[in-house]
Amino acid sequence: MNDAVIETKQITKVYGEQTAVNRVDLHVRKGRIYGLLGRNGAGKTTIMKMILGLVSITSGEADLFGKNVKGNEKQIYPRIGAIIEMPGFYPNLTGTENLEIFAKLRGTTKPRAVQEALEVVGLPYRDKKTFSKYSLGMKQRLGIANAILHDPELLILDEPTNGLDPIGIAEVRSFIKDLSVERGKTILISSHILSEISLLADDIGIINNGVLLEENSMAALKKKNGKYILLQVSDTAKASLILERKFHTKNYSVQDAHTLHLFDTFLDMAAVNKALMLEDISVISSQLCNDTLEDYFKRVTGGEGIA
Amino acid sequence: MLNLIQTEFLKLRRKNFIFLMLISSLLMPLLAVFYFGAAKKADITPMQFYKWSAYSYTSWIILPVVLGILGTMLLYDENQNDMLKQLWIIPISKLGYFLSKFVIVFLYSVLFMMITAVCSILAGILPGTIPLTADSVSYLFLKCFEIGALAPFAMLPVLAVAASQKGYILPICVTLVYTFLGFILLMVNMYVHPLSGMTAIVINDMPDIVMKQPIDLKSAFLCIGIWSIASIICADVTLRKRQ
Repeated sequence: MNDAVIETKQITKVYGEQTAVNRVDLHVRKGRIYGLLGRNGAGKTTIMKMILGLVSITSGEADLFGKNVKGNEKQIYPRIGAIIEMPGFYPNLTGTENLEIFAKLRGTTKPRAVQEALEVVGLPYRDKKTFSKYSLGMKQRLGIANAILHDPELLILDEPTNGLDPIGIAEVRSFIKDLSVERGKTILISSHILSEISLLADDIGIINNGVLLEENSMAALKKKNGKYILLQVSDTAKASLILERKFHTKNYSVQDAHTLHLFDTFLDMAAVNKALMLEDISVISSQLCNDTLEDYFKRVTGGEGIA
Repeated sequence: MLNLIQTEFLKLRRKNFIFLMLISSLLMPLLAVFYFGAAKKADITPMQFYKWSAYSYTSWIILPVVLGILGTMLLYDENQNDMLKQLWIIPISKLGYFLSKFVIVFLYSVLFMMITAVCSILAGILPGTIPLTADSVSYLFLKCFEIGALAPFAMLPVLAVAASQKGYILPICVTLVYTFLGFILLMVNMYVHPLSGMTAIVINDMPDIVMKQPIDLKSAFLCIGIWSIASIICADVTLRKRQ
């Protein structure tokens, strides 16, 4: 993709005998919000660290703005703002003083840069509260303020809403969206909160156990997540056998002992019901449902859901 | 680099302990007052007094321990709060980062010894223990500057250890062991340990000091130089390797 701001080619990270990230191809396009979705420990942070060159890549390549970070740090880093894990700051300094240090180190020339960054995240300018007395939410906001302080083209935000209250989450979501829509920023955001990603992202990457299982636009994903038939039966094991033998479909997923999702919606449900009843399986209900993103996530990761 | 050093000063705000440590520079001058006051000798020379108040235990033990604690404190917050990754992606160089800490330690060390010099003069003159002479005062300031300037280089190995650690326990333990080892080795071999080497340089032209080994300035500077370069390389490598 020519407009890829971030492009990874088969990046892999191995710690000892454990593969944390396995052959991940990620494509973040200019001006879009890319949501990296996965459970805790799925490898999201490691991918971000590898992209930023904070962790060595065992194999593969990660390009930012078409260049490898290694050797091009001075050209690439000033174009990026990032929060990786919990943002750390000097505990003896106030939020303003902390940002002034980062502004100085970055050589930020804009006189009101610190004040504006704090305003964006809703933190007071020149207050007397030191960082050590900040709440988790305030710390997170300061981390975001630091990431946007130098007006970067690309933002890499690792779980930026961690520790925020619901109103704070909505506010952060709103200004992340604004940064993309109004200022054309490219944003890579990771989260284990599905609803957050679904409300924010233009593109989505689903990662599980270090493997990128799916990468698609949110619109395509919504289309793909179409309908399914919810079958509630007395015995899903028997019912699945009948579906396979008589209707030649494996396109279903067993939810529990009595619930089954059938994704082949074109099947004749009357015939399915009849076939099940003939085999002594009680059909409690069968109804057409729309798949949610969470259902889709479960299906793709082949496991339990996500928050 | 200048930006890095300036920000190092900004980071010291509200770190009262760092400034409180300067009080320890008064320790030996005060002890000298009591020691010579109790001795009640009439013919105490400024050199004898300043040896006690500034040139001996202050440079052998007090200053190295204070610098070790300071170096650990300067590196602790960033290590403990996982801030380094935020600094690397600014980007700032690992070597520049380490050297900016060293500059602060250097300036602090010189300030510490200048306070020691002033306090030594006051402690000697105010009770009337020693006379105020221009020669002794200028020599005192010169020697204190020497100690203040050399001690940070001699303490670079401890700073390198602090740069490689997330916590403060190991660097503080290393500071204590390293300082006392330097003091012990002073009487064994002056050119193995940087702190002993520093003492050799400082006492080189002092009268009435007898050491087991002849003082060789080249060997002393070589010892400090080799340890300093090795420490800077080690710190740079460990900072690069930390993930």
